[in-house]
Amino acid sequence: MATVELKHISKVFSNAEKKANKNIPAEATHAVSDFNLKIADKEFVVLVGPSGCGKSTTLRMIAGLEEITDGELYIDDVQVNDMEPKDRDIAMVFQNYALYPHMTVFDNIAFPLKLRKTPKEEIKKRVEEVAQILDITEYLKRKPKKLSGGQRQRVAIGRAIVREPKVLLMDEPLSNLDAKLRNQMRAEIIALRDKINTTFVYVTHDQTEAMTLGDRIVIMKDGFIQQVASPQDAFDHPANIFVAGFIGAPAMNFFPAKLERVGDEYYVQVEKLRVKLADEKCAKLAAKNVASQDITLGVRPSHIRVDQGGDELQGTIEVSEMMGTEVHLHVKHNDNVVVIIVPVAGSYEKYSKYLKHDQKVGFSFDGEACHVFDAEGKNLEA
Amino acid sequence: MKKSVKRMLALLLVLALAFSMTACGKKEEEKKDEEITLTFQQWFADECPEGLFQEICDGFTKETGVKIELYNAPNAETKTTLLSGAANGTIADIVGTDGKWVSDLVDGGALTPLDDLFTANKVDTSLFSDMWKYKGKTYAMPMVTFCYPLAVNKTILADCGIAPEDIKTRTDFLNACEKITAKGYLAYGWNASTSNPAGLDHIFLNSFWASGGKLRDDEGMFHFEGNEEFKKTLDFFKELVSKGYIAPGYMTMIEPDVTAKFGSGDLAFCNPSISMLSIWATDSPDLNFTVIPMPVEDGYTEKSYIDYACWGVGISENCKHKDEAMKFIEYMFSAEANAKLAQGKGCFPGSTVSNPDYSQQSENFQKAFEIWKAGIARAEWNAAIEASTLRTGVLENVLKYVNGEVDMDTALAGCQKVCDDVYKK
Amino acid sequence: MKNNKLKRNAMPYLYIAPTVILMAGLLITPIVQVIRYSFYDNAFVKKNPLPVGWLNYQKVLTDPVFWQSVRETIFFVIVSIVGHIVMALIFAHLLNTTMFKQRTKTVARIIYILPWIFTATVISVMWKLFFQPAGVMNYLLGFVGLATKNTEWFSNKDIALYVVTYINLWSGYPFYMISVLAGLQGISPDLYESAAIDGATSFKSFRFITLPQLKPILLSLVMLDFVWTLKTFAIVWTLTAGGPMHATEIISLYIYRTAFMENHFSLASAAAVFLLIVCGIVAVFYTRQQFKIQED
Repeated sequence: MATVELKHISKVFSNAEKKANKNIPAEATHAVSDFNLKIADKEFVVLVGPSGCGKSTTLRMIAGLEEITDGELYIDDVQVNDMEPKDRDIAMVFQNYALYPHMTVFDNIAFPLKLRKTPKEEIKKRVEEVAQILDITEYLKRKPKKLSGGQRQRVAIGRAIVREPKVLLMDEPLSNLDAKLRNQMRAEIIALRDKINTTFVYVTHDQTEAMTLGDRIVIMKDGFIQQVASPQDAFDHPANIFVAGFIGAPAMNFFPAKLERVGDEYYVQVEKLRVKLADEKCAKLAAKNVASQDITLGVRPSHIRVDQGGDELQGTIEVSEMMGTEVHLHVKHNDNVVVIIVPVAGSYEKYSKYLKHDQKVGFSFDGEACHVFDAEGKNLEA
Repeated sequence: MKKSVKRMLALLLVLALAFSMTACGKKEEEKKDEEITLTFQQWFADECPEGLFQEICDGFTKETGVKIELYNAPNAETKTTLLSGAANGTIADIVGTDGKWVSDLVDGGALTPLDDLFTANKVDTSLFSDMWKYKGKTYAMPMVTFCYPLAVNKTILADCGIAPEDIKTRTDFLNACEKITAKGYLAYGWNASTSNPAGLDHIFLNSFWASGGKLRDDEGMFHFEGNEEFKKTLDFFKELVSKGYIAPGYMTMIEPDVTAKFGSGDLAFCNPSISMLSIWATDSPDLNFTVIPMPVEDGYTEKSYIDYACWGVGISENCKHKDEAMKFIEYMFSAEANAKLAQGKGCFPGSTVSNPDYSQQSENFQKAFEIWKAGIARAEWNAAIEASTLRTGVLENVLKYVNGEVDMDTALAGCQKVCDDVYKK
Repeated sequence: MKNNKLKRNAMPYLYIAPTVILMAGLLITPIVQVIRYSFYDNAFVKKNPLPVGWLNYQKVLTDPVFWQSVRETIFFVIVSIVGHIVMALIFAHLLNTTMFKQRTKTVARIIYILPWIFTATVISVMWKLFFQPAGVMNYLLGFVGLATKNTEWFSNKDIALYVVTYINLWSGYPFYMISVLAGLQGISPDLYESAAIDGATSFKSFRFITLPQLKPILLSLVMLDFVWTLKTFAIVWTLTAGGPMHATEIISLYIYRTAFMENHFSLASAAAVFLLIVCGIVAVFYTRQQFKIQED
């Protein structure tokens, strides 16, 4: 139950650290740069980004497992840069669970309490409570090696929450599980959140987890924060090309285009296709006095319409993936591949059209679907 | 077809290797020609100058045509080799032996009695300076002997104002040690390690015998209690130890440790084997030392008995050509062969007719020879039963007394018990 | 067809045949012989030894020197084992720490291993010179007044065993250090991080994580060390030959002296059989434990 604040946090790996820890790649020097974030009490924040973007490093700095090169870290308004991990009142769930192999499940969960010299009866009570929440009561006497991946993960979570820490840190806890289990555990974590009141900081590389779990998500790349926003915000209004392409699956399609300003209205032109931007978008751009320029145009696969006639972009279907209620078409357009989602909702006729390889198809989109990025990749609307 | 043949060959090769390794070390069998070869198990050849011993043996071959094949093994291993050889029938024809091993070797069936052979081959037994008898029969004789005179570092003594020749009695010796240790030198080296009881013989008993002491009566039984000279020697050494005249570390020192100290000039007195005298003459030319007779008990005026070690020789039970072997032994005691050995190795002859020419040896060696001739050889362990057990046991009791752990009566009783346990078995 | 089946079944036995033959010849046969000798009188040195039943065992068990030897051996073995494990843990941690640079650790590793590469006689000669009354040890200790030019180490009945045990510790610890180091490096650093967050100090980490993780290795090492130390011979013999006055005569020396110095091979065989039994029991436990580890 606490706030976490990171002010200008940065991490530089010295040569000695790199030599001591083989997990740090040789090129990684500036792991995290100028990280600023205020996490509210009981908020669920997700740090998300591709491998090597610095999210785990940031988490470990909050935990105290990495030294903070620059900047200040506050937990509950107390600066904790030099405080030992055990004194920060935080708990962490590791990707590899880090369960103590020689102890039973009960002892694993009881360990942090035991270290704090909690009386035996209290330990028993709290461990059994936690075990019930996580539905692992029947495994209490087993050793970790006799548990499945999902059960082990729950034990790791149990060990973390039994102490009722101020902040609960989770470092890619679901990455080692298979797809079906992952979905199941995701739902359980959401349910867990209701049962335990604590601040969560969650790290993942999977944007689906980020979108479903987080109150706010922090998208990182190469050590820098790209955007901090709610999942919906990040989806609808990505701050730059990277966020746009990272959030949402399948990824957004990008086209080189021209932005034309005509008075207070804006048009985008891709080959023959000329689309007027939606009103709110025009308003935002006009307010910023954005001029005509070469841009990168981004359109989500679900927003592209196929074979509607009129000025359309032309392409050839390379692959069509049957997903049940929709078909994902991979269409070759110029030198790129454009992914288009076509709803087919049980109608055989509708989708049989798009099964033929090398079939030609035309596609277009509306003004609401356009995201305009300047030459540096920044969203012109932001 | 081909695959299995290859496999078989590979397997055979491995098995052959395994067998060849386990078969290593087998001795060659004797050649069954008209040519007789006698095998001789000894440690002498390795301790002589290169090739000397074989040369002497070849002299016999020239005379008689009988070949001598030498089996060399270090002294420490020879006794065991002989015993095991006797037990499994692989023992050599002629054996080199120490006087102290005789009884054990005879009990182990490694030696054959020689008296009848002497008669059969018309050997004049006055050739031998000593004959080792066990249970009334002769089994071996010493070819050459080494005595252990008292070596004195002249430099240290000169620094303390003592002349080596003045040390004649035990009191003289104690006074000298006092002056030497007062000046900070180490006085007397004693290799008292119980791992090799040579330190009992060449130092303690050397002093005991020099003052006329005797351990055994005419029947060969040991007597410690009531042995006045033994008690005096015990007290003498107790005084040496308590006054710090014995170089520290003596409880675990072995002979090489002591001679190394003396050779590097740190020690005033020690009892080296005479073979060391020659070695020091060449290796440590800066060492200024001399040899004197062992100091005797005050008031003792008779001849001193001198402790010695030796290279003895006998014939094994298994030998199939005992007459030829006896002839070889006779040859080794002939004036020429024996003198050659004594000269070449730098030791004293065991043959009464041998007159080695020591003019090539160092001055100290010649002095030692004079001391030797002036005294009477005595080594009471020769032909004693289980001599090694006896000596170790006696040394332990001697050490307990000189270290002040037990009183005189307990020490004497201890020595007596050790001998009684063996003799009254 | 049948021929082929026979060949196939015989194949594994043929493959292990060379090893089995070698072992039978060089290992089993001598052991059986020694056990045989222990039931005869003066085996090996007499042409026709007589069987004497348990007489040799009786003699050995009533020999006060034997019991002195047993007491000294127990001391020697227990101190060596404890010392080896403790030194191994300390040095392995030093070599594994993140406090020093890799280069420092590599150099340190080479230095720490040095005692192991020397043979027994080299070690003995070296330490003998070191501990002799006029040697380096007395010289160094003289500075703090603990020893003089005349202080005896090996010749002192009361401390000779301690000195010999110390030298055995010194010469043997590298093997155990390397084994523990390998074990340490196999412990996932995640566990330590998790413990740090859970509230463990470095000492508690060691107690609750390192030691339990190392338990199988440590158990193996203790058993191996037990058997190896029981059989230690070369170092002690060349240092003191069991002296002074049997003060350092551990059981292997007792057997050697009885056999090769006193030529009482039967007695020595009886004593050797005792040693064989003790080593055998430990070996059984060791093999059992190894199987248990494999199952895990």
